[in-house]
Amino acid sequence: MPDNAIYYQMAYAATIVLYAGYALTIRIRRRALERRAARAARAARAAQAERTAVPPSSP
Amino acid sequence: MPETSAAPRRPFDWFALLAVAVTAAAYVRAIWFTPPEMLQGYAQKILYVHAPSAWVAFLAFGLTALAGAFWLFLRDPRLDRFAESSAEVGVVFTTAVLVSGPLWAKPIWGTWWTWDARLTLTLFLWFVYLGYLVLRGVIPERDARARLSAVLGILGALLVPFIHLSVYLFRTMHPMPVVANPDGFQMPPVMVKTFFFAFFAFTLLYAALVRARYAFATDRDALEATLDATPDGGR
Amino acid sequence: MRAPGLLAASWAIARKDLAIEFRTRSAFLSSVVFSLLAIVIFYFAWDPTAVGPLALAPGVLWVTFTFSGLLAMHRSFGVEAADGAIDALLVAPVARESIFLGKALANVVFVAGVQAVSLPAIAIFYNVPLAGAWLPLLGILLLATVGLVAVGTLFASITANTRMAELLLPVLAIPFFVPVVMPAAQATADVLSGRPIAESFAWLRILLAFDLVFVYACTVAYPFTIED
Repeated sequence: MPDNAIYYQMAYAATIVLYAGYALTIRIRRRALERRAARAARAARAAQAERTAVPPSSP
Repeated sequence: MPETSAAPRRPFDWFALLAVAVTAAAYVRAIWFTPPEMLQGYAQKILYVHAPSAWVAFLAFGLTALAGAFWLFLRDPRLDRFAESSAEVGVVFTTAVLVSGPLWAKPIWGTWWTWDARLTLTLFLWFVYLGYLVLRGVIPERDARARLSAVLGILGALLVPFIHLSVYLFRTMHPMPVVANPDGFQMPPVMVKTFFFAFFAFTLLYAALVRARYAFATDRDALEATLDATPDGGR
Repeated sequence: MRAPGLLAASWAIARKDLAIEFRTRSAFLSSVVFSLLAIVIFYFAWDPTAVGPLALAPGVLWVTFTFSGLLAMHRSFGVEAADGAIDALLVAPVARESIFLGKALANVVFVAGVQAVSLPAIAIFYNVPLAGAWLPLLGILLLATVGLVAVGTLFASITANTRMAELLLPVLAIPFFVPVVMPAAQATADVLSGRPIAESFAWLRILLAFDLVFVYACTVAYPFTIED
């Protein structure tokens, strides 16, 4: 039997890294999205507070 | 006040956990519970990740083309999100095919690369769908992006038989270096079981990855829609 | 005014594009000079004592045609982008399919014009005897050019919507050129080495099938690439 186990170990390692790495990129993008949504929500709340604090006659 | 429910914390993804567990089981079975093949040695085990990845890659691109074709008639943004997700996951699986293929060919055929019909087809599909992702990346308007990428996805599916046919003819008309043909060997039942289990596992992994990527696309589109609706752009 | 039929409208649009081209001639001249330069430079990329010029000629010919064709096709929608000319074309009372067919027809004429110069050039520079092979060669050229132009024109329309059309067009189009350029180059090699055309029928069948499928598919797909 030929001694070529190293090739199969490399192939298995490479595919595992590839699939896990891709799953990780989805997770990272998802986190960035959540941060962006939270920022937008904070900005919206701040704008709302400003509007209620200022009397309605001002532009 | 605009609703800030864009990008909610999604509940724990049990399906993804299942897919990861089954895929891990497929790897474990292939590594420790499947004997190596007599003539090819341990390198034969690459087949258990290579062939299922190739199946998933073709499935992914086929579904991308199909979703694009249906989008052109139904104009449902969910179809476009699915096409986007499936194409991206398909490129990942194609990359796995293109990495594991040469790693098998080197010890068995004695060369990293041959212009075999299936290998060449996979390489060109990889190029087509990388181009597909690049095209999606440079069109900011959602509708135009869906429309143009749908056309590209459909033409890509039409291209497959032509590339396969011309490369096949190229090979039969040009004598290639003689290589052992290991495709014909008979697998004992234990290997066959591992082989089909891996197909099942990788298909599940595809579904889980597309599902996660699709959920991301949905939340991203929802957030962008809320930001567009906010007068100050949500900054 | 009655709206013209599909073919009449296509012909009118092709004539318009060719008239623009004929007045300026700058794109055609650049494409011709580009393909001559490519032919000359390729000659020095190989060791002529190891690989004979006759063995190189088909590959050089088809690589040259592909890239000079891409230049032409990129231009065919680039010229409409200026001053919103494409919008005027879209409100014209013609079927959108005829815009595609007209553009493609003009591109076939353009590419054939470039080929009419670069083919004799390669015959001279690479010392290729064309005399006995010109008729089959003409058939291969026609079949392959139609396929290249159909796909290239559609992708030019797709990429004209983006900011980086000149870079994206070759990236998208070249994978689709594989089943045209490979059979065309192989059949050209067969014909140039004096074998009868019958030996290349397998290649010509692929070219013909590609033409039928992609001319139809691209014509049907084109209206989807120009919705506002």
